Amino acid sequence: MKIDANDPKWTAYALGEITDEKERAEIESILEESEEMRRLVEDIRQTAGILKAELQAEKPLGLTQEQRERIAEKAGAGKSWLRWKPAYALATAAVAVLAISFVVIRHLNTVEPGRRNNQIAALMPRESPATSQRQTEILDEPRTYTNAAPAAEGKAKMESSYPAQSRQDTYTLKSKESAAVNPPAPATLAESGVSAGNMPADKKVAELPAVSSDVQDAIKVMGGVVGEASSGRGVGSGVGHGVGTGMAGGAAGGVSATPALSVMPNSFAPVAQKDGITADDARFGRRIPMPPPPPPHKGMFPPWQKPSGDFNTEAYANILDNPFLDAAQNPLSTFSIDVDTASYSNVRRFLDGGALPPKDAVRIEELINYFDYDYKGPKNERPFAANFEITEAPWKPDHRLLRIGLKAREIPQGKRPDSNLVFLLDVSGSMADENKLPLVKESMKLLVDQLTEADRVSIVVYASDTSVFLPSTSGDQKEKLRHAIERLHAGGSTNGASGIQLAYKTAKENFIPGGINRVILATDGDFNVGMTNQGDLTRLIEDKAKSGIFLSALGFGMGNYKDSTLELLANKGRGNYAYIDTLNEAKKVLVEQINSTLVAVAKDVKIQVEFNPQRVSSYRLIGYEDRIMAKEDFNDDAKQAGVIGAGHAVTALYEIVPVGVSESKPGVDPLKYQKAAQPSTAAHSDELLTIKIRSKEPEKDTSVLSEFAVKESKEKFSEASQDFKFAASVAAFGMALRDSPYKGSASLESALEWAKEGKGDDKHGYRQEFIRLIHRAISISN
Amino acid sequence: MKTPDSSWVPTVLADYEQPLTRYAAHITGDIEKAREVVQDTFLKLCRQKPAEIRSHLAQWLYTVCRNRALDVLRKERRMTGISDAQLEMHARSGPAVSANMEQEEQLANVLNVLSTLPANQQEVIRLKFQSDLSYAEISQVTNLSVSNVGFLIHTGLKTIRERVRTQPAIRRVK
Repeated sequence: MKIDANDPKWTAYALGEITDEKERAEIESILEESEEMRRLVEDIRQTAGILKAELQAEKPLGLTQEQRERIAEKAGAGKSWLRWKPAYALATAAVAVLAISFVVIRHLNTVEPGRRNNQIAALMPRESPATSQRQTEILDEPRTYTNAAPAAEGKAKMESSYPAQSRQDTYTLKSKESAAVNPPAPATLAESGVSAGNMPADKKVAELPAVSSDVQDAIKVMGGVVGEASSGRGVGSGVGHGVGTGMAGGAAGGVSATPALSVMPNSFAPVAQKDGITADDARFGRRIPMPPPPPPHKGMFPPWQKPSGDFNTEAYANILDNPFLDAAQNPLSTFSIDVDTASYSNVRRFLDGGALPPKDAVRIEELINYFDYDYKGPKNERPFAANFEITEAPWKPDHRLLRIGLKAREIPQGKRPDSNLVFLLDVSGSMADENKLPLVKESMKLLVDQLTEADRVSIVVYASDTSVFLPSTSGDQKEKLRHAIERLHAGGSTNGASGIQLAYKTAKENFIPGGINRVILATDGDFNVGMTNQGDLTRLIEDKAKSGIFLSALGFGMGNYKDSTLELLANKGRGNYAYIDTLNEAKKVLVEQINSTLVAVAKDVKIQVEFNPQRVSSYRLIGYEDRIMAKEDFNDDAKQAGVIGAGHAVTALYEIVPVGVSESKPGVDPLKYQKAAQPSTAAHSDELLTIKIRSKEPEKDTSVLSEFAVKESKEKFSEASQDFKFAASVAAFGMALRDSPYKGSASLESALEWAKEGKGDDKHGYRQEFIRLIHRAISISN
Repeated sequence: MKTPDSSWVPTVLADYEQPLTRYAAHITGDIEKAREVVQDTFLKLCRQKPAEIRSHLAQWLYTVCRNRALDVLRKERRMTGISDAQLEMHARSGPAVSANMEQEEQLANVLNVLSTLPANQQEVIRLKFQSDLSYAEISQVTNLSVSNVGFLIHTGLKTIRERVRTQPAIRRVK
């Protein structure tokens, strides 16, 4: 084929303007062949990058205050909104608020310490002999079942022979072949029924936890899953954020010396500084040296309602809200935990850019899990503890809202296992933007400041070619590391897969048994050249994860940001996935939460909830749409699931429709060949549901199970804990942004109200920022 | 309802005030006129129903701004009798260029090269890289076809690449 370098399509391609899939594929196949064309495309991107930087650094021009007031008057608004200054000022203001909130908020908000923690929902252990003394004991050290020796009688559950609905369809056959192993023996069920019967039925709602006080205490710390799991890593509790904050100062100091404009030629730096972008802006700014309006049109043209051409090439997997499921027909709800947070920072990027995010960019569980919650951590060496709370659903007071909160154990400062980190950096032309590679570099420097001689860092870069940019280097050689990072620059096209192979090879060569072995991929996900067969890629990552090398993904940039790819890769690689839009976010992920980012305390964490159809008419899991598992997968240790990192808090919310609440559900015809399931004895207790959690120690292959029953409660939302209110607010925010069919009365405004009620201590200011985002969303959508 | 809901105007103003003013200044060659053009654009926005233009807001704003700026220029031309050539000169001189002596000395500056391009190339390049509009949006704003926009940007970028390359004064990335 004849290649015409003067064809405008090369420019269009380099700028991400080829809208026709077929044409793009053709261009990419030519690029694969032709080094010359790859250079051309890269050349165009570089010129475009320089031009963009220069043009956006031009002296800002705006209206006069008088003119703004005229417009305000015409818009019918008071002058109050004139505090909305042009983008730069706005960004700075946000920074100021944020910075202040770090310092002041904890003094302003005195919460009632500890009080709420006692109000964890009434939980009954579903353990054998039901004397309350024994219960306490057991709760403190929950009996564990391993799959190797299930303490179960393989009770054939009725539901497994029903053709399950929706997502579970494909697994039906399999379930018939192997009767589900469900540990709790029928006798146990009966026992807990008895103990439930001991509860005064007319107990006043406010005194909800209808259990003896020592049981309550036990409940608070309950849920530690691995009874005798001593990992030998000398792990205790406490510390947590203290570490991060302390380090943050030092880290920031290191950064301030270097304005984050490094990709641009030196001659451009003065231009930028003239516009008042200081190192401080770069360090704390919501937008680094981003041009004033971060492509505002992007959101005003939300991808799902764009006319015809797709103007941006961001990719999000389609999400359908989990529906309400009938508790009689689908008594089991199974999902993998998810510790990703990327969706939140991505949503923030859209809102700060003046646009509502595309629906599919909003993953509610990631919004909720962005925040830390004050759940009780586990005692001893257990990997995590589980907490529960249930009140009315604020957006539909007839319904109940159940919160399941897992809190992983903390790792004290200095006790982090030795680590072997391999950074896999995308340095292709598409990474040249200010909020991509330059931000990656600043983020890496933050991380380097955290490392010690026990850590090793390598850098593998990939673009047209792949190379080991920095061979494995000890974490205490900070100058060498910083120098290497400084030398990184963008150029060339991308072949993601071969870079990944080299990164894994490097990680394997430097493997630390028992330590952290992790590939950290930093990219905009735009794998635009070469072997990018997603199936091959995910298989590779899955295999490597099995060999102990996990993969975390850090997403950067915008425009051609491939959210869905990165989420999938981190999911398969059992790492976490964060979206880094600012240096602040980098600090959260790589400094404050470095332990939870890097140290896995349990893997394959699965949650299965069994609903009592006598109490629950239907239920809905909020979020986690792409983490739903077949019910059989719960006990199948070959099925991978999410990893929980040190100190992580993971939250899941269920909306529950109690029996007796009228609802219009479609219903199915009665079955012709079998009768409906008969309720067991336990079904007549006041238990709403039972939560079962399975997980494995990072280096083991057998999972352990723990389970807890949750009882009916009549608690009002107004009586809920602050954390609960906050989580509900985030869920409402997500549902409103997604315009979920299940949002009930939830709106941005109600989310705002609940967020304020639930703000609490907020020592890092994240919740305050969330409140700011809701305001932003409200003003955009009005 | 007498006036449509214009409570969204503040946010839009915050996001677009600066890029629109720069764009208008580039067309009118005069900051004060540009400001008036942008003010008029936003006053017009206040009269619109958000639902009708939200999906193509940037395009709407730039189109209105451009038409208004051209109106101003035409009116001025009738008043002062300046020639088309002068008009083009106006369109060429971005406000940032003359304001900065240092930059003027640096001949290879991409902006200087940009300012030597034909006005239509300059305009689409600014819309693309300064205002971050897509080809399709630029096509709507300027009444050019998408392929025409693509051609102008391609040609403009090519000229810039070539001229910058021949100037040793500029240091290029890598």
